[in-house]
Amino acid sequence: MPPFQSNWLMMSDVCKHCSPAPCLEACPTGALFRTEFDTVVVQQDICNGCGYCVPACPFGVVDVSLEDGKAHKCTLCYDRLKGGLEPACAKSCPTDSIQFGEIGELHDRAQRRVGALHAKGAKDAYLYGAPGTPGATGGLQQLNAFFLLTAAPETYNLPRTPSRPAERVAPSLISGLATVAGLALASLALFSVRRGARE
Amino acid sequence: MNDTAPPSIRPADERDVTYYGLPSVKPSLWGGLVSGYIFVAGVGGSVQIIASAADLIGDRALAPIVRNGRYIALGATVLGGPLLILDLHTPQRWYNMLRIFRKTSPMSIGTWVLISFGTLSAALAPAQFASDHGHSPSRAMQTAIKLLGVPAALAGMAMSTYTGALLSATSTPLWAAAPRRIAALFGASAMASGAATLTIAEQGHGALDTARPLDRITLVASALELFLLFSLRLRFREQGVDGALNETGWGLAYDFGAMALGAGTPMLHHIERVVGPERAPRRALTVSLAVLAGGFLLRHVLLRAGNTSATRPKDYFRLTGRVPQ
Repeated sequence: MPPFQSNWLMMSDVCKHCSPAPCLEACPTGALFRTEFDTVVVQQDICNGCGYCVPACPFGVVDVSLEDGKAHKCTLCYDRLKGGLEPACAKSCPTDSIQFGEIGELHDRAQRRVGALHAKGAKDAYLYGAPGTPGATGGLQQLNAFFLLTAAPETYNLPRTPSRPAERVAPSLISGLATVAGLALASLALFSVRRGARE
Repeated sequence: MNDTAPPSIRPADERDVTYYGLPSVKPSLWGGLVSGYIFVAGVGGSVQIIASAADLIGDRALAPIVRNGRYIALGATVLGGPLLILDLHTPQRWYNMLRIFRKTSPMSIGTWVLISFGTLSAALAPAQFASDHGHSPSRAMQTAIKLLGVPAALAGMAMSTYTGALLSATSTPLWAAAPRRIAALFGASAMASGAATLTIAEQGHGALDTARPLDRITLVASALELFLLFSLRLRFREQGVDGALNETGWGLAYDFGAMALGAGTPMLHHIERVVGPERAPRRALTVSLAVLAGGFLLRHVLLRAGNTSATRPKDYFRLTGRVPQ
């Protein structure tokens, strides 16, 4: 993009409310859950501060507070949504850069916006986190908070092809168990060889 | 959605590829308690496997291995649980781990593995204690104990290795780069440490009947561990995440602590015994302590270097920068 004014890139560092959500899939207590609005929220009265959601998040969003010992993250204003209001970030954004709505409708609107920008010559505009775009990769179907970007994802501190950590569980477990099972059989053999030698 | 593809899939200039060098993901909050647990779980799990294997063979001369194994496995559970609870930031709610089972979460899988392993170990140890103190069990009871050793060994296999999945099922670059190799490495290292622990437990009784097979298990497991340590190092380099080791002191701890001390010592000792000019003495205690020290260092280095790698955005972007097929 050619320099325009400051050429600053503005970015909302919001929770992406991934679908499926790696933090939720990592949570061993069920404190993290998916709400009726398809957002992901930590239940503070259940979280025991194990902290496993922290390294699980592909976007570095959730963290554990050392003051209260619980995990915290953006709830997309769960309390406001329940009251029929839009999240505070979308409500307060004076340029409507942050928009809230039904996810399918937002996808359509964003797609049209990318088309309009391309038609105006802003060829580097693209979506991040909508189905089939960068960000919705490696088992992450879509990010329920998605973005229209105009530079490489890394420029905004976003990974190009994040992946769903849970997809590594089975390969890891199988590889580990196979190794130890092999060594267990070797132990059996070594014990019986010793026995055979004595007899 | 071709028209929404990013403009340049080629990463920008290496210098510009991060957001002012700020981390993109957050490191785990884990430290020594968790690497300590991973080590203790591995030793306990593998000791139970070896004890059950010795019990299945049913050789009276192997009885000390079975006896020590049953007690040490229970000890590891008794020690491991509190280590995990102490690491929680709201430890008084530890029991919330028992609300659910979640197969996508190695932390949840591990909770139930630890409970199963602990229950089986807590059943086997008193049975062992009773027979050690003259209450010789009936033949049916003996068979029951021997059979109970099988699920205990299976749970032991999970104890020795699930911690690899615990690390890899995250977005931490160093851990996510090698899910298969880390778990296999933890397994091999756990078996070497298990055999070394049983060797130490037998010190002073020193029956050759039990020493020989334990030495060989240590040797075979350490050989595999050494191979996997090399292989993991290569994998880190291939994936572009080895900086967290090479550019910090953790690389030296990996090479000299885990590799040379932990896995190398049993090899060297074996070579000394085989090709030495005269039969060298068996340095069981020294070798076993080296294996245990190397085993703990391996886990601690991988854990701490992993935390470092999460703070290095270029490592994460290299790992997640591949063009999707």
